[in-house]
Amino acid sequence: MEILAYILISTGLIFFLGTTIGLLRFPDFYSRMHAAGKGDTLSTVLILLGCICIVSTQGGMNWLLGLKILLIINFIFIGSPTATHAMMDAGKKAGAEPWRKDSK
Amino acid sequence: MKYLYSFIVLFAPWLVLSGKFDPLHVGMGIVCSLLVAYWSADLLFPDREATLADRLRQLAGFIGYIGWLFWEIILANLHVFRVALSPRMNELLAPSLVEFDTKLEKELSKFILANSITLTPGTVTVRVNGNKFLIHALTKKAADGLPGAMETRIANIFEITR
Amino acid sequence: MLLVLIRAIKGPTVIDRLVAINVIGTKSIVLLLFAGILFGQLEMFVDIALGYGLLNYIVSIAASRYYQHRKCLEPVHAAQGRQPS
Repeated sequence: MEILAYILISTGLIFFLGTTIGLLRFPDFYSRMHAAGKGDTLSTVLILLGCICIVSTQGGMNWLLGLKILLIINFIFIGSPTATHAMMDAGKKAGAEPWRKDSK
Repeated sequence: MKYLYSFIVLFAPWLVLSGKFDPLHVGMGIVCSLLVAYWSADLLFPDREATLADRLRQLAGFIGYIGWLFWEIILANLHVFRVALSPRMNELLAPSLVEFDTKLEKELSKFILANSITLTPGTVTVRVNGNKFLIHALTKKAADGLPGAMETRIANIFEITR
Repeated sequence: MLLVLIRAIKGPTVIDRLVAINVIGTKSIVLLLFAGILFGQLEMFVDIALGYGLLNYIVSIAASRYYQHRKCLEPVHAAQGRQPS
């Protein structure tokens, strides 16, 4: 169980590194949104699943903590794409230009 | 019947969040959940005609859909990872805005479709306006694959007319 | 997280900073859970993380709603310097 937890957490950290590099290297706001919206959700969900695995090995009343972490996962899973839409829409309405190949 | 549904929906998070099972706390939870369920049951379940079997079937279909979506999210992250780490990134990128019509009708299924599009490879929903979806695609290949198999899957789960 | 902070500081527009702040907020939930596991007091830290996740979501929605109505991406002093009104 602990090995599974470590595998999940390190996979999540690798995906988070990819998200960060994408956030730093992409040329415009819209494509940065791609990296943020996807990598953020997946890496957080993976790391929290690993936390559930660690918690459930400790015994006692810890299944309640596992359920609470599952509730956090639920909120992130619903909230993160919705926040991404809201920010994309704000950028579109505020007039951010999409990046083209010949614009640089 | 709808009062019973919303009572269950409200009371389960109470038990999880409080974490105490002595009679005082559970009793307070029952009273609060009953009051809120009596006042606001109309907000939670807008379609009255659906039967219990319908709802259970939707729930089972939705859990299967979550599993499929999780695999798609992993693919999407590998895609972003590959694009972000490639040294010739500017040749790989071809951003474009695509607009298409959907045939879904319920608000809930539109919401799920928009969130799923955001989480699948190379596409992000910019705006939902009535039946029109405005999509920003990261590469050329992703822009061609819209709307894809996702719409029919959601339609199979949520849009069955009774 | 520090690398995201770089984008938050030097981001060309306000929306870039907003995205970076959102990512940092989500990561701090994870950091809170790790702190709970390290200190052995996960009961307290899980509740804090739950509240923090909800607040982070509300912050993103509210800030993007504000910028939808403002229709300007530069910081305030630059925009005011260009066309005083």
